[in-house]
Amino acid sequence: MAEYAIELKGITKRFPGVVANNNISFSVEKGEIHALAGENGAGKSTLMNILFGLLVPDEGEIVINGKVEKFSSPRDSNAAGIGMVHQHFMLIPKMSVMENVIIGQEPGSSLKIDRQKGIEEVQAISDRYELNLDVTKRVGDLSVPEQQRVEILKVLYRQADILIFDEPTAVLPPHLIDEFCDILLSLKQKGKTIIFISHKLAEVMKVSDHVTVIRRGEVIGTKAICDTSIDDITRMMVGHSVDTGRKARSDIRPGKEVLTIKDLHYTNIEGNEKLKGLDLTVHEGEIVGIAGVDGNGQEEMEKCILGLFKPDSGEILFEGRNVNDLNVRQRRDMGLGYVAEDRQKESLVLQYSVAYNLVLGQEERPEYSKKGFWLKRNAIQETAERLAKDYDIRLANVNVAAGTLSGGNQQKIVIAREANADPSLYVAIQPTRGLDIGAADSVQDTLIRLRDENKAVLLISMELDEVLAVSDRIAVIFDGRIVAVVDAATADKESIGYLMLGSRKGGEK
Amino acid sequence: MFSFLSYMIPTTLRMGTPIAFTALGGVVSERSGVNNIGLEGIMTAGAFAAVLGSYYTGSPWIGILMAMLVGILISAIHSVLTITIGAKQAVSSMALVLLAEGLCGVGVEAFFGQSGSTAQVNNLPTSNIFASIPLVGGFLSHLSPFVYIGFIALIVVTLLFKFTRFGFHITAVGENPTMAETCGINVHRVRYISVLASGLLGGLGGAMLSIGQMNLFQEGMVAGRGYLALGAVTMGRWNPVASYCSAMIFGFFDALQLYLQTIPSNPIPSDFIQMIPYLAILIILAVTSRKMKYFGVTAGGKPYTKYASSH
Amino acid sequence: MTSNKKREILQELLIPVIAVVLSLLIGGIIIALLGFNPFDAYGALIQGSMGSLVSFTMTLKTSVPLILAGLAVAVAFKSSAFNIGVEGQLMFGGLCAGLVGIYVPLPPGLHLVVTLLAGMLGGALVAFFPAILNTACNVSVVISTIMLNYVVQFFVQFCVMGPFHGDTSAPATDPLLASATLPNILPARYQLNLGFIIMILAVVLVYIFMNKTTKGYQLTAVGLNATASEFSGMSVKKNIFMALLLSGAIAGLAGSIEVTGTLKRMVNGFSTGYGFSGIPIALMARNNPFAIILTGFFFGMMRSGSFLMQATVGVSSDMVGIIQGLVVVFICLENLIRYYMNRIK
Repeated sequence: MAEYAIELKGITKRFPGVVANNNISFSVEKGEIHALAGENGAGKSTLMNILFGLLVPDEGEIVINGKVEKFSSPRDSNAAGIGMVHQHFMLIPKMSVMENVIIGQEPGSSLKIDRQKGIEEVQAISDRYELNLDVTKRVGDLSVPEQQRVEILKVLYRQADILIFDEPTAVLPPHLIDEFCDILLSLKQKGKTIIFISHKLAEVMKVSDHVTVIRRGEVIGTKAICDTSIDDITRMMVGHSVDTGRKARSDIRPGKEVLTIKDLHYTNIEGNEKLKGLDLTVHEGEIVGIAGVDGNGQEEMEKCILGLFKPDSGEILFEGRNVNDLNVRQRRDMGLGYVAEDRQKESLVLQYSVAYNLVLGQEERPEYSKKGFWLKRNAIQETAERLAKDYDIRLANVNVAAGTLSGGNQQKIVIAREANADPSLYVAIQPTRGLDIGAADSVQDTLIRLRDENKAVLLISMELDEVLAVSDRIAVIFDGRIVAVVDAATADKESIGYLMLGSRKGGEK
Repeated sequence: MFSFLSYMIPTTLRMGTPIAFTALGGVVSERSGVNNIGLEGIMTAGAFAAVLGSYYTGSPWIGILMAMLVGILISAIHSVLTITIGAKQAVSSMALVLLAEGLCGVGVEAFFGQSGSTAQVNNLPTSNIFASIPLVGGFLSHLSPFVYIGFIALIVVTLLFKFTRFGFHITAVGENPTMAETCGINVHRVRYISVLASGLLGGLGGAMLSIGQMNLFQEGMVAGRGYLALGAVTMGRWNPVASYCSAMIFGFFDALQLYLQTIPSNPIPSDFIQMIPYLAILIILAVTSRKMKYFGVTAGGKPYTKYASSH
Repeated sequence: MTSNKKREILQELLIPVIAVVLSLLIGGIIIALLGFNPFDAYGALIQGSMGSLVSFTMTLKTSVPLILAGLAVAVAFKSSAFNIGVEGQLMFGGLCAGLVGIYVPLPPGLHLVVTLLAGMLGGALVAFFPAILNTACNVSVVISTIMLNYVVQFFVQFCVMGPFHGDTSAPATDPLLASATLPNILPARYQLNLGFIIMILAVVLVYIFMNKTTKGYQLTAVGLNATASEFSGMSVKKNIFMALLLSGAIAGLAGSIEVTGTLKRMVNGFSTGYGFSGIPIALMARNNPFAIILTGFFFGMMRSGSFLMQATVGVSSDMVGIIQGLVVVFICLENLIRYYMNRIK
């Protein structure tokens, strides 16, 4: 019988309103590479944070090398030999590689850190595992893949035998992924146990020994790689459901182009090109859903449309007019409704009343103010009461602070406000995230209604089921481009799943 | 020229060292991620405590000890409010300033029975131990021992960051507290000690104003030097040596202003000369602040809650 | 209104009260440690500030610049900017008002209006520099406003002691023209002048601006949630800029009322920390303009009563400064106080 490095038994973790991990159990053999696959929000990161000691599970047991462990901080998991390579690197750019690696376990005495010894030790590890790093360099001067290797070095320096990699290839350009896979294999060869979180199935197939698939916080199954295929894993990840639960809608023909994006390029502050020539069109009377794995350029596209980011090149046309030089307020006044991803941070002023929140961004319009200066409090009140009723926002009265409402009702405020502004283009980002089924349903119904009223709707969601249920057309985003546009009514969930993961059905690139 | 230099060099050291002490304190505190605009208040309290200590014991050295102790006590309030409670650092700092100024005002009257300034006390005499060194001996013997203590403080703080484990942890905590925590460092503990250390140094800076430069305490005698010190920290980009030197630049302006006032034919009104250090800070900040993201302390000014309790 | 909601409001009202009570308590302990009877001291404080109609109106008069300073701090705070430069803005406003009051003869009525406007403009001018430094160069408002305090202090000193020094041994200018002074609104011995009414007007106007206009709505939104404001199309920097100018103008008004009403000439260093008192006044009132009248009056009471306290009991009037500092400390402890209040219930 195989010896297990990690056994997870019935791990359950609840957050307010959601069960992130539900009775998760699986085991990882000593010295293997074990892949953990699942869609965004399936609960992988929560599980790994539990294993790393950053979160404490509500129920369940962690067994490391046959010993039951209780982790209450990363220090505990370190002591048990677990190290984690975070997706968002935990590094200090101003310090050298060596310094980043030794933090917390510096060689030498407390009065004098032995830097020379540090350099020698860390360089030795780098050489042994063929990480190819000059440990005296400043981390800020390193490329992203090099920084990732510093993270690996950090874990190895702490003598971890079990290494967790959280979406390690998400930050790597395609041509460096092979190199990374070699590092993983070399670590395995030297006796390390590796958990590898990914939704890039080609890599999973290439390096892992086993794969465990998680969906909606539950384990769907664990398979040996030799007994499975990409098709098989994809099916496990996205589910079998043939019925996509498409929402009923009236039969209208899409009209003129409302939003046209042409060859959009955007490079972020760190110098990574996040949009690489994105093209997209949304017409009147249609819902275009953007399907894609998080981090493939959605955020940058959204913010370019809103006007918070200035693209490097390319055009955004709004009803035929180039809006590149317009600010957020001007674009909104042209008829852009925008439901931001994080309602509490980006959409609401929680201390303001519900009524005030229902006109946020529209306060200078003649409906709500005289000469754009004097607030028409009665008009605001009336509008708020009407919207609260129409959108079924449950509250004592519209003068309570928005922060006192439940998440679902808060989201309804945002949905209602943006729809009430009579937009010609309605952009909704993850509009149902964290909502219960009832609230999510009503949000989706609003999107359909707007479409039926001949508005253009752009839905960006990480949940493929939602995109399939709501959209008329689906545009798949991958690596800063729209790689395919398909008709939602006849779309095949599996093939979209492949496109999202950067491959096509059958497994070829 | 020689007379100008022989005036300016010791005067610059004399005027610059109090700011330098406080700037070194600012470096320690800010590198750990806690801004302490309240150093102005800590200097005030230190200046008064030093006089009090000297007054009651007759020994200025006891005065210095008192100043350091009081500096630590006052900064303890700041550390509780900002690190544990997570209050706004600027607001908490203002509490220190208001509190210290009030306490000293009351203290002056309570202990000395007069308002505005204290009685004269024994100050720290210049020492003759270097007098026998040829050439510079005479010059050195005119320097306050505070100047030498300032050098020592500079060396200690420099070594702290350059060599010691704790100094390394201070930087890590200020740059990326989450990372420091995952590497097993107690973020709050490091920040507490750093803020308390800044109080100690700020207290020393205040002591030099009262029993180093003069022999009494006057209300308002700190006159913004605590804020200038923070400017010196920014200008020195959080590096101890550079911050010390920046403080000396302010000391130089102060000395220049004193020098110009001694020239009878000086055409510039002294009020304008006195503005120079403050204007200099504003200009320097205007030039450097845009790049602050790059040079500044990454997690500076932000309270830190442990990962597990924040999720 | 639900009982829950009522309790919440009560709690919010109670927090500043608790902060004051605790501050007075610790202040009392300090007084006792100094060898005085705290009850006598506080008694004298109340007697001196409220004991007679004369002392009461005196307190009202003292409160005027304090309330305006608190209002100035609050307006900036609303947009999340911490304006510690109210002291300097107030001084410079006073200087501008003083100079216009002396050297720009205008018809009665108009002269006073122009004088006060000049003071407001002066205050706004001083606030303009930190505002533009923040917008254009990203300089922290806290540091720049405080540095300007010193620059202004020396500049005012230069003006008052230099070119505009009056025919007097005092560090002051000549008296203002009568047409530029604020008339009394009560019989002369009560000393209360038109400045009081102007202050009330200013509070009401700020309240209206904050609560009834789109600009006030935006300014507050930026202070509460800068990100959401940005997403909704507001400019965060522009709003902070505007808040600082407005704050400076109010501070300037405070200074000009002092100069045109109380002093009737410009005196070097006339502001004894009004601007700094504005910080606890605004914090305690949670930036609510009407509440600032109350908290400002509270500090006015302590200031005007402290003279009697010093004269009869012997406790230094600087005690007020300690209480001021303590109030800010306890306001910082707000969350802690709230936590314990919830546990008691």
